[in-house]
Amino acid sequence: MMLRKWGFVLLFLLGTGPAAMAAGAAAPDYRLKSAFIYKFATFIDWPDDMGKQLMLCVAAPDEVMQYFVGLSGKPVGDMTLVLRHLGSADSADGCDILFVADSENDSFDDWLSEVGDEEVLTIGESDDWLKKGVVMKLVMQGNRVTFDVNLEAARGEDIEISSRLRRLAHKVYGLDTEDDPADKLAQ
Amino acid sequence: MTQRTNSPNRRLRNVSIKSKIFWIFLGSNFLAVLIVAALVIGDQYAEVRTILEDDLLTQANIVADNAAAAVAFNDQKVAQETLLALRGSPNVREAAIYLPTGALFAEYKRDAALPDIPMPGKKGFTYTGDSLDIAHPIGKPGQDLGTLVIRLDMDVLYHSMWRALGAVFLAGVLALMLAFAIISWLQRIIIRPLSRLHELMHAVSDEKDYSVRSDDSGKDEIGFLAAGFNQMLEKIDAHDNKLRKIAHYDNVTELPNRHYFNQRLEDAIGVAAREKQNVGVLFIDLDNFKVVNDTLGHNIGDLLLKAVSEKISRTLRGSDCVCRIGGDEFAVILQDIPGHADAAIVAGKILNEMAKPMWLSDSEIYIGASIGIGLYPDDATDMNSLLRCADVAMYYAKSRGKNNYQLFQQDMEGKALKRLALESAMRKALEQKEFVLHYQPQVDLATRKVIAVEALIRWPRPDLGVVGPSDFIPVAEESGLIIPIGDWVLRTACDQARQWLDAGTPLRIAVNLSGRQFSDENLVSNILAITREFDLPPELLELEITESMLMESKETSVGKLEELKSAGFMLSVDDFGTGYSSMSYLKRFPIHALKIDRSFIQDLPNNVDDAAITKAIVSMANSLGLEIVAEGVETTAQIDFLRENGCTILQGFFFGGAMPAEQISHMLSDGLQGGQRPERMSRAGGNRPAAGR
Repeated sequence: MMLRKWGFVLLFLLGTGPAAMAAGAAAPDYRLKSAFIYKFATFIDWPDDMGKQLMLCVAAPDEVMQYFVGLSGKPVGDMTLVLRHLGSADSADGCDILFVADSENDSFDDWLSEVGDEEVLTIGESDDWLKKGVVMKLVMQGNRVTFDVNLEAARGEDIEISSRLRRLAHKVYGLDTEDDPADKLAQ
Repeated sequence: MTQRTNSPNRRLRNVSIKSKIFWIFLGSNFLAVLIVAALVIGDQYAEVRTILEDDLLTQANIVADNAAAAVAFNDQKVAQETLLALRGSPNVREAAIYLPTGALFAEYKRDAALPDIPMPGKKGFTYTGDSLDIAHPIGKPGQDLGTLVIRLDMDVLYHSMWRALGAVFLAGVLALMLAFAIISWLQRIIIRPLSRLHELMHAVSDEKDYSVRSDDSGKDEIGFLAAGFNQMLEKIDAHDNKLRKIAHYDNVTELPNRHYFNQRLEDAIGVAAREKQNVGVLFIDLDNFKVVNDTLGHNIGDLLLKAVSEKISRTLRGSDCVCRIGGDEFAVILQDIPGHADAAIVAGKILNEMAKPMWLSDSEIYIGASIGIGLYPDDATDMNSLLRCADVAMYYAKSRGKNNYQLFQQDMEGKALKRLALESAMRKALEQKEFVLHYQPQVDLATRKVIAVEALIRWPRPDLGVVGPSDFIPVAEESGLIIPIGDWVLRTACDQARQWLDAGTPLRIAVNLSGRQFSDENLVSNILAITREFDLPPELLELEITESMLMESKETSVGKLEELKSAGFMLSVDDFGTGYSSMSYLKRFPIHALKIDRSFIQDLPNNVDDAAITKAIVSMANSLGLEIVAEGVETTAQIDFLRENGCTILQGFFFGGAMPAEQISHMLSDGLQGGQRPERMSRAGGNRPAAGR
């Protein structure tokens, strides 16, 4: 537990740097990020009672949205991806994946707590958000997209992130077992 | 040439069964081991391969699954780490992940020096000799994230192959060892009896000993073979014994034959040589056996031989041996006989025994024998010479009037040679017409005329003078020459009779028939042919037969005589009174005259017995209506006696001896002058015995 707390502290100390970089990042990053989100969805072990559709809700400005439109209708396992543009007044009901672009953080601040108990894979772009309970934070590393993951949040939202995925994570928070190989990566 | 001598089959046939069983058994065993080895190793190979493939597939599945996310998210580091997990599998030589673009994404090498695995052309397994590659898709179906390639060392497979091979080899060696044990056992129970049988067969064929038997009593094929072999041997043995018996025994008398005799004599001489003993050989030849055979038939002849063999055997010691060595010839070996005298005693005993009459199928038969005796070592020292001595002595006995025995003497051989020479000289004489016929007149006292002549053969030999019939007729009779000589006599006599007939002085000629001639079945047709040839009236030919010839074969004689009589020939009985003829028979024979033997005439009229006999013969002849001729008449006293007693036809030196035909012709033309004397009165030139006897 001590380790985790120390992790949080570290995250807070260092977190702003990359976030600032992301905010200032060019639009093409979102093309990569949208592709990453889709690919990530395919590696999630979704519960069996999901139905035929996987709802991807994106809260982002229109110039970002354009990179997500192409995902609509793509298959994820037996399901089909359905895209929904989420405005600040909209309810997040029915979303399976929720991506909130950095620029929309403030508008969706309250909303985030609403979905805290539902089975939603929440994805953000800043450490701040990760701290607030988002499951994943997308990070650009050079021209590659990687991610940090908050396992505590994932557990809270009943999202199962497999160890294989965890191994790919840039940083992992909220590990509850010390012998998890991902633990080492987290340090 | 359908089968070449070096064909494998033929070659196999020439190998002993022992080797055959050995190689066939071993070969089939080896083949079985080979097949089992191939199956086991093949199975092992397939199984190990399957295990390897399953294992590899499982591993590939896990690794591909683990690496999928890394590949998807382009995380080479993690992918590399995932591959590194293969370190736990020592069989994995290397592994690589290729992206769909064909770019190498991550790799693992157990040994850094190893070359990269190329991107395989196809999914699934690829064998590359020393390794097994698997190309496995990464990601869920349809994702096509990339390809995982894992290369596995085949050492495991090969090691397991070698282990299996080793095990099979060991099993094979054990199996072959077992096979060896079984073969030697087989050889004991199969080959050995066969070998024994083979050896037995060799023993039989080498030593000609058919009395050996196989003791194999098994119930298998070899046992049956042995039993069959024994049966065959049994048969051969029996056959052999039978053949030996046939070869050594005569089946008429059941005495050993000449073959056996020769062996026995050789042995006897061998023993005698060692033990300084004598061996006597008696050569026994039956007298006139041929006549018995010809007249009474072969069955009686055989019975006679059997009876004779019994007679001879009866007189011998157990150690002596009697054999039948020819038609009517027997021979006796007298082992360890003290000397000539003892051999002679045995011969005498045999003759005594022979003299007893034999009853054979209701006929009383007498048969004499001539015996020659040879003695080892006095007369000869080897078998053949000894036999020859006995043979010569036997011939000598025959020439001495039969029914006697003779001990061999050195000069006999000369006599025997003489006899041979005489025989060949006779043949020559017959060819070169050296023989001549002389004629002795028969005179009728009443008319004082020559009423007939008796033809008598003479042989004027260039360097020896005239030879009388008694010197050569017996030899001619024995050698069979009597038949052509008899023919010649008949022909010459007929020719002469024809001449006299043509000259107007017909004269009957009496010709003597010999025993052999008389028993010749062509006799009648022969005589008829000759008389026809000269167109001679049959009454001009008279045939003289001796009393003993009549008696020897009464039945056939009567038939022949009837035939001759009905043909018109005159028949007379010569030497009458010497042959014990039964009077009752006389009337059964169709004869016209009796000739009283000269032995009764010569002492007339002083010898009372002869006078009585002569009177009786004459009166009997008169009562039977037979003519009577007295032979050997030399004196007027004899003539007077005969005339007084009613015998009017006379023959003898008083009226003339045997003379050439011309002289008879003169007599006929000049007329007989009373008391005419022939030039020679001596006995030596006498008219007895007659020609053709």
